[in-house]
Amino acid sequence: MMNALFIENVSKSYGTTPVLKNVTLTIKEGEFYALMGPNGSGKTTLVSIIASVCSPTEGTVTVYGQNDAKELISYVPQENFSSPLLTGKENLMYFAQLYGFSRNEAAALAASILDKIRLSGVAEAKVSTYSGGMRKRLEVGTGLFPGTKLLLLDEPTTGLDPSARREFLGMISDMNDNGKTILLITHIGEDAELASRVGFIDEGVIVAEDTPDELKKKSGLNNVLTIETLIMTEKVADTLKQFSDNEKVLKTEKGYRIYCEHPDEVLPYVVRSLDRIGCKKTKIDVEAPSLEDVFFALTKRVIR
Amino acid sequence: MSQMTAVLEKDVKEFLRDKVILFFTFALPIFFVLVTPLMWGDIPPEAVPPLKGGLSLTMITFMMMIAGQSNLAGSVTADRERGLYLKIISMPVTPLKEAMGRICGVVVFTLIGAFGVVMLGVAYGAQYTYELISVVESLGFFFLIAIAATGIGLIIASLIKGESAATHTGIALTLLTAFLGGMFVPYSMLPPFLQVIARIHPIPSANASIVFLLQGAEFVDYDPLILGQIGLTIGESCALFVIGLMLYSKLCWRKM
Repeated sequence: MMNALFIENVSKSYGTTPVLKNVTLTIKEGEFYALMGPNGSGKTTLVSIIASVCSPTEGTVTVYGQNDAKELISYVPQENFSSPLLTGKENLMYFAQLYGFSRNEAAALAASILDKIRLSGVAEAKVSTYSGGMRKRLEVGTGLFPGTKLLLLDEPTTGLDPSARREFLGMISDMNDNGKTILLITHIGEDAELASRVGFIDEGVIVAEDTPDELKKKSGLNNVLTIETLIMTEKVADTLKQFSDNEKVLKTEKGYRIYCEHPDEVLPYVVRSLDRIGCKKTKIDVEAPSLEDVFFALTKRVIR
Repeated sequence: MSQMTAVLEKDVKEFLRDKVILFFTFALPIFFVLVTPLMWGDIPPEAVPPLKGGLSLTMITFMMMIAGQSNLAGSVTADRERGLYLKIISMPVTPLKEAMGRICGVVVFTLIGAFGVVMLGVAYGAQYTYELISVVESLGFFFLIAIAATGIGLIIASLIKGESAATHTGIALTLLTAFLGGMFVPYSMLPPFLQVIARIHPIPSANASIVFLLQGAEFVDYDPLILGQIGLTIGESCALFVIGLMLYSKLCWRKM
């Protein structure tokens, strides 16, 4: 199968600060690849280089074997770039004409794409009236013009509510099923689970890449003990560390994730220890490891 | 060509749907057309219609200045703020074609307003005395105003961050140019240093040329059609346009 994207030894520095260090990455045609990493890991810089928005300090990027392949790429940056004063249809027509389609072709394409992204009912409404999810779907719709083969999505689900996120990810999955090659930049493990392959990037280096299941296997993580607490202090974290393997305890928004070989067996002891220090628990559960857990296990860094 | 028309269409639609833009570009000149004659004191009645004609022509220039210097600058900075340039840099579009589309958008938008101002002027008693050749020559000067104003607009958009700051800078510059450049006050009433500004600045100078051609020499108080004056106006307008385009291509389309 042909390489849709080949990145070879790409480095990028801002002044003396290196952001990407000799990154090499291959994505096959039709593949859905998710690149996961924490803020500042270099993932947005990498996708900007692929999209020609940013120049690499060193290295080369080829898309379908070409060095300059702007007509094959559709890049959807984090920002909402569609015009709020234009309608959904007018926005798509604008971008279609920028890709070189005539006005009539652009109008026909816009109508068909709006149908595909399930926005035909609001085609004539101004984008300022759209919800965040609708607006993001419209912007990803710019990747459906004939001729664009590689879709670059930079953190597209940020700020979307759960239902809009699910709908959006369903649309991306459909696009991939219809042959579009996708590179998804994300820090959300659940989004990356959809991909056929996931790469972890940390401090400008791709530290691991494989299918989501293989990454989980390779990490050696079993089930994870999750605890939501009313308070989060160093004392609580220290108490939990004694029950984890190699002191692997991840602090999350609502509590902690404890990585240990037999979570079911340590659970009663964890409850007792937390009671002893007066820490109230709101929820305790044993879950399968997520890709965020795998990233943490591999790098000891929290992904979000 | 489709790229230029896409940008033109987008900008014109955005301008027409933005109430603030509509107010400053259309309502303000119309207000001046209607109100300024009320302030004319001891003017013989027979001089009023041609004066109203000259005023409405000046308001077309004013409209073009607002559209080029303020609306264009605001539109570019708003697009930059919301990340549009990240998207279009990744697309097979050149800065020159995109900029030309934006400039054509300013011209089309101004033409829509100009039609309204002329019609309103006629309804309000403005009189235009012209020959076909003068109209053609005047269109040349309108073209110079368009490229000078859009050049200044692109310079503002490239150097000033934030839609509001860029828009207001454009409006401030337009009002300053109009008042200091003698567009609202007869040239003969300006102090000598402002008379110099009126002749050196390409927009008031081109505007004086239009009024001179379409309304007559008596409405201008100096001859803006001498060769040196025309050369200066053309040179400065082109220079502003080229500088604006260069800065726009370099700064707004800058890769990270």
